[in-house]
Amino acid sequence: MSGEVEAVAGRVAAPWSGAQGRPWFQALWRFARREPLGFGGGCLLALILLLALCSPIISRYDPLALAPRESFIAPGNGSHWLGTDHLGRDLLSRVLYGGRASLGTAGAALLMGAGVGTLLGLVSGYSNNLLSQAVQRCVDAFMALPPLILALAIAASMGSGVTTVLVAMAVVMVPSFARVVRGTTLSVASSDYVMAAATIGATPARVLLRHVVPNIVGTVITLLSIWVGNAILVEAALGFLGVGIQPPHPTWGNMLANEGRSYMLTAPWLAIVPGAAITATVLCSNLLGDAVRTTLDPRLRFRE
Amino acid sequence: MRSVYGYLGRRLALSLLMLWLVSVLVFLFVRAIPGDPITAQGGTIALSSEEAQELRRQLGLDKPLVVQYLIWARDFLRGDGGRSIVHGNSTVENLLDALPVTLEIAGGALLGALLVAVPLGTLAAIRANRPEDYGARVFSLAGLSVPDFWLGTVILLYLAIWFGWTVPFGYRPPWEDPGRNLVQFAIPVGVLSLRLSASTLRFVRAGVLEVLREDYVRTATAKGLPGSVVIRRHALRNALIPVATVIGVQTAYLIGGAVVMETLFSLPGVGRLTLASLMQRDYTQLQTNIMFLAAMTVAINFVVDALYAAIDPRVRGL
Repeated sequence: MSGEVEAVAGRVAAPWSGAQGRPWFQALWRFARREPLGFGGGCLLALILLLALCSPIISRYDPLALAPRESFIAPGNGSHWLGTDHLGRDLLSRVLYGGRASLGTAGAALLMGAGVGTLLGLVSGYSNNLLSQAVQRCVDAFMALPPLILALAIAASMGSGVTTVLVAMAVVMVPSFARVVRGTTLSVASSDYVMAAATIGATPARVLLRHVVPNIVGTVITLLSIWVGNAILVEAALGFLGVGIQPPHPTWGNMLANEGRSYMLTAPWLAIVPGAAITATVLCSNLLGDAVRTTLDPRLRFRE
Repeated sequence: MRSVYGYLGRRLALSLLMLWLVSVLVFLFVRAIPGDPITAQGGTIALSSEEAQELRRQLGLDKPLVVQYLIWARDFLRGDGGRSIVHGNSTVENLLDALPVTLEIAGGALLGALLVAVPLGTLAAIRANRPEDYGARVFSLAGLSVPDFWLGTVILLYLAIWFGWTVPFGYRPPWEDPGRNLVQFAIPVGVLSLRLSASTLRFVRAGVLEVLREDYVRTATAKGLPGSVVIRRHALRNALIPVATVIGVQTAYLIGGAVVMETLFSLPGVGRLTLASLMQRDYTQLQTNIMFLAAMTVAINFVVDALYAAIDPRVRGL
């Protein structure tokens, strides 16, 4: 394991910083040729993100506006492309706005979880003292709790809402990042170049920022690539179980749980469309994530 | 070389420490939930504030936190777990009533996942970068990307639309009505095992690929053993050792998946019980359930580690 980690640490910077002086678009072109599937997935993901982000501009209808006379219009209608729900709300607008809420929450939670987890792992790996041991045991304890149960418990203890989902999801991700980053940091910190830097009098902060951090970036990117798809799925599952953002505000999870399941037989599109949106987005994230992992190191196999 | 027993002793001590930490975490989490069982029930029964105070006293909710924790820990270690605040009966009894459902879902999903992942993953590795491999990879990508609750919903939907058939309502244990039980569990178990097999397949494929490059596999081939024997007796045996660890990690996810499936298919398992006690602020039931699930996760991981150490002497030094 530690051998693997060092191998990763050694070759991290190359594909991203243009080590041979290549501009970034050449690196991107190389990536596109080597990993066409991953590149395609990445492009589609970017498109989905753009659509979700611009939902207020693109949507022709207010996702909350009721129009009882236009309820249950089937998809393929000229003015409502994806049809309407039981209250006559435009499904396309709701999916777009729901995507903005779902993907925004998942993304923010991922950044929070990854940031805190990486910081914890970095500090506890670099200053390997009693405190860091204690941190590590707490991380282990968190990992013993099934993630969804943990997220549910946090969500319940804070009441429903965006902040709650953010915190619940971040707490689920922190242990995973903290544990793996700590492992990499431990092996990087014991390497010769770090010792050399410390020997010539670099301050601990400088050693950490200039020598340790750049060498764990690859590990963090790898973990991110694994977690992107999962984050979207966990957010949707929480919404489905009813602890996320509350209706009438749409998220992919709560659309599926509420109007989707209630009117499954009369209006199947209400259940199919949000789920298909989740599946497509997660699929694109996974395609991109796999390609990024292969690019960083073909031999890399994480046991997470 | 260090002995297996020393390693197991250290692992056991760590596991127990972890369980203690988990118990404190669980206790604090549950107490942090706003409102208590009295106010959560407020909608149904009108209580004066004196009556509410009296009820809190009876339930021990007025004692200091440390005392509440110690009482709960004592009860839990006795195998009692205290009385459910909402239902009034033993929490452990409720848990044991719900357990068979969850074990059937989780066990079935695990079995299904292994039955699919091991042969398919091995095939993908042997035929790496050929159509079979691409097929297996597409399957695994799809399995990892489809949300399980959506897949379950869509299957129910199309069974109803195309065949006019719905899953019979009302859970029956397998010893009462095996046929009906099988029908009720087939879809949730299938959906859950799809996702599990998708992730396990990747580990099997990677493991077999790694092992195929080893000298002893080349030796076995060179001395003229037929390909199937090389794969079964030499490659697969070694490749599956790390896969065993992955199964330990998957347990936690399996439990989460069971919560969703039990909710979706209205099966009275531990997951649904936990979700319900969360909504009703049933502290004691919630503590018992989460503690039990965490203990199960820790125990399974310990067993997996122990088996691993028994098979592979290299990990004992950790």
